[in-house]
Amino acid sequence: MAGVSINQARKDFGSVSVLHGVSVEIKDSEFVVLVGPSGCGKSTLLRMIAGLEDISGGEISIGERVVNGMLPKDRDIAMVFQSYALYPHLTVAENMGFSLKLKRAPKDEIASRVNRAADILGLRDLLGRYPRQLSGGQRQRVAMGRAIVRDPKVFLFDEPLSNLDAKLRVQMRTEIKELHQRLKTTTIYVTHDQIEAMTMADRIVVMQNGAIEQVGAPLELYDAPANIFVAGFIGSPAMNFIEGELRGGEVPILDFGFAQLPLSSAPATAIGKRVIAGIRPENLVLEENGLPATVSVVEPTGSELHIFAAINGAPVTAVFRERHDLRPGDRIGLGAVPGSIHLFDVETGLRL
Amino acid sequence: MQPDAPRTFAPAPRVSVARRSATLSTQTLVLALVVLLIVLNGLPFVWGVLTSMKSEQDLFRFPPAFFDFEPTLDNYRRVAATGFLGNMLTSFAYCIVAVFFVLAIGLPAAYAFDRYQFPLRQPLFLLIVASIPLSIGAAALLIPTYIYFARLGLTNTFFVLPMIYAAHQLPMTIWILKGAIESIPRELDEAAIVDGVSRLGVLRHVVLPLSRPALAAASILAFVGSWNEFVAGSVMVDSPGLKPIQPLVYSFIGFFGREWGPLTASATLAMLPILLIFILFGRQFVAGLTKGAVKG
Repeated sequence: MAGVSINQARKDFGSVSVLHGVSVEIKDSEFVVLVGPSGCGKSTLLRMIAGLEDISGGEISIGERVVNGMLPKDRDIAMVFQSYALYPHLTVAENMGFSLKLKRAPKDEIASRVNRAADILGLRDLLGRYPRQLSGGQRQRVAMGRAIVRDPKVFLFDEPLSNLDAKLRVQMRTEIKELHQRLKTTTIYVTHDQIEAMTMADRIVVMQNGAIEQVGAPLELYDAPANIFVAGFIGSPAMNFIEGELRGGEVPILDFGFAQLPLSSAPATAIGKRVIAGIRPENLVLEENGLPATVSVVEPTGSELHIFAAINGAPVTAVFRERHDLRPGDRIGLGAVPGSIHLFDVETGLRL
Repeated sequence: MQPDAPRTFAPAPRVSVARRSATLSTQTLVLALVVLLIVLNGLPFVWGVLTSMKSEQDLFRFPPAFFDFEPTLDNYRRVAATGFLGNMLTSFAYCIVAVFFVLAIGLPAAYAFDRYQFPLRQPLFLLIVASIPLSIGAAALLIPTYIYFARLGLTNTFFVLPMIYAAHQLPMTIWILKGAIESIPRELDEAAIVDGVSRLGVLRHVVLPLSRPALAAASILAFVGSWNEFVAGSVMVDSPGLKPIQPLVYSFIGFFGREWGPLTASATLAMLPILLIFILFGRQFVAGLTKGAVKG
């Protein structure tokens, strides 16, 4: 096993730059998720680690070895693809043992390693089948089995759950996490789904437009997003943003013009500035003298109540754990849980 | 059992009920057209086979007899006596060698055209597609080809015809195989590369097994095209032993009138391998051409 060190990695396609020098240190046996909207460069970065894309600049090391220019097979990695990429003409066992066969491993060693991986993933009864005879979840497991059999230093996952239905996705999420806890192989996992990132990662790398926005543990990102992009991207439903002015005084006050909200604390340097206030939906509470809002849609999920409302015309989402009898058109007051408001600079978008 | 691999990727075709009933009248029309085509194509064939089994007297009887004659194998004996069967073997060898080279060159070429980016890729491929009809109407190229080959001392050799046949059939083969390779997901190439094969290994371990139906279709087309070739076969070689069969069939149209019996007998013999191939491999042929194998 080994860590992965990415140092100022750049990728250009002709004159177009898609990765502008990103650096991340991934520790041995860590589960790191690269997350971001499509086109942010996360898959390109993963493919550069795998050796499927050239590295235009910078350096990528796996363990102690710099792998720039090294062939994928020499990098000691295994990759799981979005479409699973199982060889349709080979059985499950042959698919899983393919890389060992190429290395001319002895037959009984291939068999024992395939069987061990099949046991881990519950594929023992499917070894003789062809991929087309398997369900989506089973194919996904075979793709992971193919990776496990190689016993690589690093697992690379490229959106492996995108082709599965919602229920199976949740189940496979847990399975992959359990697998990692069991094998402790360094894992780099690419997804556009922030819930996958939050639930699976030891650390998340949030990317946008070919650059890293923030790196941190899931709850670090959730509790202290470094900028508006990360704040809006992590968390579902997404964080609410309202622009206002920060006023000083005995208690700092957020002045929205049509209403005001007292803050428990605010950075002194930001007093008097225009700011964007970010409030997570679950941090909103019903309060008679809170911000005036009009309910537009009510969505009970059973465990929670999602309210879509408008504050001074701006859309706001609130999530309540307790049940309220609310209807579209109702006028309510919304307040914030003390200390839960995030402040961002209007110009730079950075956290204040 | 070999899995029918590319099926995994092809979506099932859907025909709505409304569309099915709307096509009823069109279906009748298509059926009538097919029957007409079968009669038009089948009649000379049946007539030829029947003629090949007629004796000299039955041949020139008037009014002509369709089935009312004593069948005889005399014509076949006469054809065999000229060494025709040996030339059939020669022709067969030419075609097999041509098919081998067509596939050996066509598969990597098709793979490169589909998977690699290189300068002039698009114009080069257009040139290949454009040369498909050119190779069928190769008579136009005969004089320059003959002059070049004669200067290089390649005429009247055992390898000249397989070479020409391979060249003729290559464009069509590349076109068919490229269509098949297009339908193989690139992620499979990448998975195999991560698993430890080279680009050539991808060709062997992934592309080759997955394009088998298209390879079969391309082989059949190349074989049939080479087997039926006439012009180059009659010009490029002179030695009787090197002659392919198509010009030999023609040789029964002699100086002193047409020998209909041996002519039709040799033509029937020349058709046999083609018939055999389509009876044996007809299914694969259609599958290879329809399963996303042929795309522009």
